[in-house]
Amino acid sequence: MTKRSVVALLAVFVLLAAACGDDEAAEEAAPEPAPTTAVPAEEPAAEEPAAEEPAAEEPAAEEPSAEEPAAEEPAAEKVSVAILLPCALNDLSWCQAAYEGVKLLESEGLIDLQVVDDAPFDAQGATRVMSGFAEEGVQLVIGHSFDYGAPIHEMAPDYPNVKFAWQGSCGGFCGVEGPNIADYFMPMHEPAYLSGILAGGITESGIIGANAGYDIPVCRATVEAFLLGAQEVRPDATRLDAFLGSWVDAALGKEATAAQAEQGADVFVACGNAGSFGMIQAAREQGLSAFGYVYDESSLAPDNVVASMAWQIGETYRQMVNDIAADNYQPFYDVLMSDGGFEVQMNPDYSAGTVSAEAMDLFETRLQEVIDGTFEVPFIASAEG
Amino acid sequence: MTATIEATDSPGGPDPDSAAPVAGWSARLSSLGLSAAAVVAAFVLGGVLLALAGANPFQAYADMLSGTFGSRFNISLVLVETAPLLLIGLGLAVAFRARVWNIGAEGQLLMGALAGGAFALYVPIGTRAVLIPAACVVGALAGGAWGWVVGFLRARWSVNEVISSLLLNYVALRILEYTIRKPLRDPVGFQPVSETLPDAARLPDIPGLKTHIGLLIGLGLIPVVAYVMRRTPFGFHTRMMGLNRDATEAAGVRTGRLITAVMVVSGAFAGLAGILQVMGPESRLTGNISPGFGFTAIIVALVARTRPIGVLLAAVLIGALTLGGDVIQRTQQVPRVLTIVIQALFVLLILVADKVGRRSR
Amino acid sequence: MNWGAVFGAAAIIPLLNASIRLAVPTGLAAVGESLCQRAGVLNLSLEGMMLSGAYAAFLATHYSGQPWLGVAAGIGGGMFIGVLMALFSVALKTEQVINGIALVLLASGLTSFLHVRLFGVTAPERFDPMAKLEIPLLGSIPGIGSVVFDQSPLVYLAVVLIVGVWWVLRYTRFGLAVRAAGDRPGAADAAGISVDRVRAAAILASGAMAGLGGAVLVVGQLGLFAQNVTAGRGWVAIALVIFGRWSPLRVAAGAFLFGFTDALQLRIQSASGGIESDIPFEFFQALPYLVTIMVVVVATARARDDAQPESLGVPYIKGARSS
Repeated sequence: MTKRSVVALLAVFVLLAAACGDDEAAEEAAPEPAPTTAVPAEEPAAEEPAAEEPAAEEPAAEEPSAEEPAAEEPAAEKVSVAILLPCALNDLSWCQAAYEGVKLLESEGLIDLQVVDDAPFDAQGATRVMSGFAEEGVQLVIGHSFDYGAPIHEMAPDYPNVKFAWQGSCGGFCGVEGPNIADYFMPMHEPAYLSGILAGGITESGIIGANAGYDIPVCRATVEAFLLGAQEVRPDATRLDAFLGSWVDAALGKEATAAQAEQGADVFVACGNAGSFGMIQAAREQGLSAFGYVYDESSLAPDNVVASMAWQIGETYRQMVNDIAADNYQPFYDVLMSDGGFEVQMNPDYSAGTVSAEAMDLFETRLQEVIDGTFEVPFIASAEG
Repeated sequence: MTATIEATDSPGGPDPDSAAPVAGWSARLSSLGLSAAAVVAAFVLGGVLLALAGANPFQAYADMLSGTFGSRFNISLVLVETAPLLLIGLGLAVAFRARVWNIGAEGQLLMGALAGGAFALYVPIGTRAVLIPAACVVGALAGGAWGWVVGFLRARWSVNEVISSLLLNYVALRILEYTIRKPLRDPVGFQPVSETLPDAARLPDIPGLKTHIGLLIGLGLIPVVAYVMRRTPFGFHTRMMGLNRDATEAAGVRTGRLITAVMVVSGAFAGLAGILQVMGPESRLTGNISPGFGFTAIIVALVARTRPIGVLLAAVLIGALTLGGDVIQRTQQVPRVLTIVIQALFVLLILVADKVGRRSR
Repeated sequence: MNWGAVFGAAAIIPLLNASIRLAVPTGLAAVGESLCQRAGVLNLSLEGMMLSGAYAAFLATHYSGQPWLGVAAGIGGGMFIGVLMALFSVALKTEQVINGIALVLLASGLTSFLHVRLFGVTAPERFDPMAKLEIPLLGSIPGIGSVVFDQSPLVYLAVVLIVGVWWVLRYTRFGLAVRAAGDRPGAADAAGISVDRVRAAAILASGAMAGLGGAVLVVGQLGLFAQNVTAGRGWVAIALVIFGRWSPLRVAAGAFLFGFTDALQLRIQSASGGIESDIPFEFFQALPYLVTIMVVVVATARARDDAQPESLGVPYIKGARSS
């Protein structure tokens, strides 16, 4: 009886093995060119780290000379990029922003692109997917979540000629480092501060409602900066926080916003895709005001979304790709608003409240200062600051 | 008597070894044919979906095969996927043979990972040969303890184990999330994760493969489980209880105690898998240690008909399908989630083939 | 922290309202599941049924613009998984636990796949969730009126269905057949009841209610679909069945209690400083599960309560020995 199930599974394996045998034969013919191209590329690269480091440490003055050959020989040569997105690419939020960022570079002819959406976010699954690309010889593997730091740290030494990037936002504090690893920053505190100024000019109660999927530094920095911005206009402003313990539970996010509205909040900010959907829906039903998270979410509630903090991640990726072409890969990319890394996209249809003239003026001023680099928004990532 | 599930000759449960008449070769062949038909049918249905997704199904399958078994590196990846499913599946196989429905392997895994991980992080043992086994023991104990709660509630108050084990999954996840957010959070780090484990706690790879040695532990436990189930009083009683709990009780076995023991054993296997994930692929404690291994392993154990060697084959199969999904996304731009659908079809069609086979007799 | 913000006179009514909103999707699925389990089928595909219902409801509303059509489609989407569940559990008599889990995988994979396939990179436009329906006069009773008589029409539908399941189970021939099929299928069979048919019907009913639960999330509350929007509610619903000791009304009460806990924890977090609150928010998130376990322990310990259908999870095979 139970033997039968074993037999069944054996049958599967026989089939697999048979097919596999065929395939191996087929494969031997096909991918042979691939290894031959990959191997020479790999070998010098394997020694390169040693050579590379001094090169990188050596002056920026050398850069132009490095760039020149890079400019003439790979003029048409695109950088091959693979990106792991931990959610659906049409999620109107976290993953869509990144997807459109890489798509932009692809449309400009800068990169050859491969995308994995709904990518696993356990380290084992992430390693599985990323090592597939690395074995293939993709030049840049991007993991668009802080969850991808640990697996990248572990696997990067095995692929010295592949560059890795992850969204850690920690600038080298996370113990994820190596010559071919870059951390890229999500400077959401900047647009959050500016949005907070608008919120300060909208709120009547002076109470802000915030929800976040989990207690992670970027989320903390976002809500803290938002409050500081609001306090520039309304020094008495306070904030209510709720953590959902989920990135996918939109209905719970809606209830968090409803709860905060009951406690007097009238302007809302969220950190997390589903949380922001729920928040915006609640604001829509109650005629309150909310801000879009990472991507232009004004379509979810044209009357109620004041503005969206839209991440222009393409600019971050563009720098990485350029640096790879110039053989000058950096350990940390912080593309701030001053470099076009984030925008506060005002929603022209917003009508649920009015931004006071004073706040609007201050917003314009601070926006310009942030873009000019003359005003630095504090990044408060933990209780200690 | 509150025996939840009584003995029948339903699949997935233990069939009495003697109940099957000695299957002749013809029967075996026909069952092999049916299973092959199920496999073919699953692949055909999957192929239709692949075609709908805009891929060439034949190419996709070819890619899947070469991407899973086509090179030593790919085989290594399949085996990495196999390791946790094998371990958890072995433990669940024991529980399911006793008809104790442990749905809580996920939580038991997390508790094993948490306790074993904390041990490896903070107990200053510098020797790999000591630290790794010690952490394994701690992880297995923690998983076993989490399983014990279920068995205790069942034995003491007849609390249905499906429910208590399911509920404890959520409790375990929240405990883990809290611990890495506050007490175990990497002090110099930034994210809600623990420090990286010390080198002495990192599992080495099996020589020649890029698969950590956790797999070997699983492989080594296969004959142990097979022996215990077949040759020891514990195994005998467990099988007997799976067949008929009342009769087992009548025969003088204290079934309450046995249920608790079975839950501890299957929890310990899951806990061991958890700490091995942390010392192997994960390298630290995070909130995403398991993408649902505890649930996938239920399928593994049941597809394997709770037989240890079957658990290995099923774990390899599911591992290969998982990796195959990544491969065809890369080569055919097919969304990865499609392979989840194919996995489900696979399980369902094997069930169908099994049934058809049973009826045809 | 300011307890008045959570329990003050002005806060209680909204708290109860939120509890109902949080309770309805899970409660619908749970009450349907209780019917199913009373018939002897341990249906673990519930999360898949909810998700499938949520997505069908989304698609129908998106393409037709008719929320009620969405609700119907949601019921159909849940029943679609129900048909498969019945096919395997009843017609083929395979192990219910395994095909249940496989169907959850199927629904989660299919909905995610379809959503990207159908809409590509442009997220589909959202639609307005159903408006609330205030029952004339009753709805304007101060306080309780808004809780009971000013809700989404889907809430009233849910209440009708929940009471309906209770009534059917208790007072009708079909209900008797369901209970017989779950407790003593052999005897039921001998009495001329088709155990298979009764169980299949119970599974389909469970699919319909779970699908409706998913539809409530999408059509009644959010106006959009996001991946895995049900976020594990189907599993919670299975817990609720045991929490409610297989009695539809008690299960529904349990759903309300779970909803209440969730509504409460969000309010406590908000009023007590979120991250910095003295009680970690994870505690509140784990609380409903801990409470359920305790309730189950108390219920079984006190009454030696044997509410569980005796043949739960056992495929019924005609002629085979059964107790």
